Amino acid sequence: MPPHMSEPAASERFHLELPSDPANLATARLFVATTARVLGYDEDAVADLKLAVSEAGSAVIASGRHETVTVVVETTPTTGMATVTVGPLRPGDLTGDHLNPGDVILALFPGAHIDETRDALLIPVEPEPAR
Amino acid sequence: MTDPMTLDVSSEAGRTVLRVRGEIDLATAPVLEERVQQLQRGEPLVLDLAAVDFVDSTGLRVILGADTRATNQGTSLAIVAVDGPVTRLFDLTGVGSRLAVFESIADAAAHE
Repeated sequence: MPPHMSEPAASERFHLELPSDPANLATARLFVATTARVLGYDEDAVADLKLAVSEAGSAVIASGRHETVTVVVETTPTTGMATVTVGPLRPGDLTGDHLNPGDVILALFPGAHIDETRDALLIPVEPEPAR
Repeated sequence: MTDPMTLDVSSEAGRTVLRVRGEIDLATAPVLEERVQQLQRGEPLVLDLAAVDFVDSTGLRVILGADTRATNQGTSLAIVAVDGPVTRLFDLTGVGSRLAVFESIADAAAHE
């Protein structure tokens, strides 16, 4: 590499897998909150991520199809974006009666979507503005 | 390890007050639901959520169910919530305007 070029920052990946039990949702929220703070997100963003992960994790548990809930936080150095993945989830898992978990997630993160190839919810998170 | 959610019942300003502290989610919402149903039997209730650190749509369903139950019983449900996770979820889902939300127990108790 030429001397004037710097080494690209490495991506980071944080992974949590928990038994599919409502009692573990608090741990999933703590994990995403801690990770988001490490990545430099402010407390408003941390609160939004906790809520989105809790909604998605609840949907995994409520589906009754899976023994574990997986939460992954990954960074993309080239864009500064982070992506939070929660699964396993299918599109119908985020619908409810009169209050859809998916609506709450989309209100928080409009780019969130189910990736059917990964069987999971992907939540793109904008980088924090430079301070 | 501390309890994720604690419930305290008291009588303040002539009203039954259920004070909730901690987190309301899929794990704790059924406990809250049961306690609210016990207290609501034909009686008005103040649900103090000012010390709630976290709530998601599971908890919101309990709150909306309690509000519907109060209406069906001809009584009232007053919510106490200050700026925080509860009001944030009310704003996100647009349900805040359907509920009687106050900033203090005194304000809620004064509400008829």
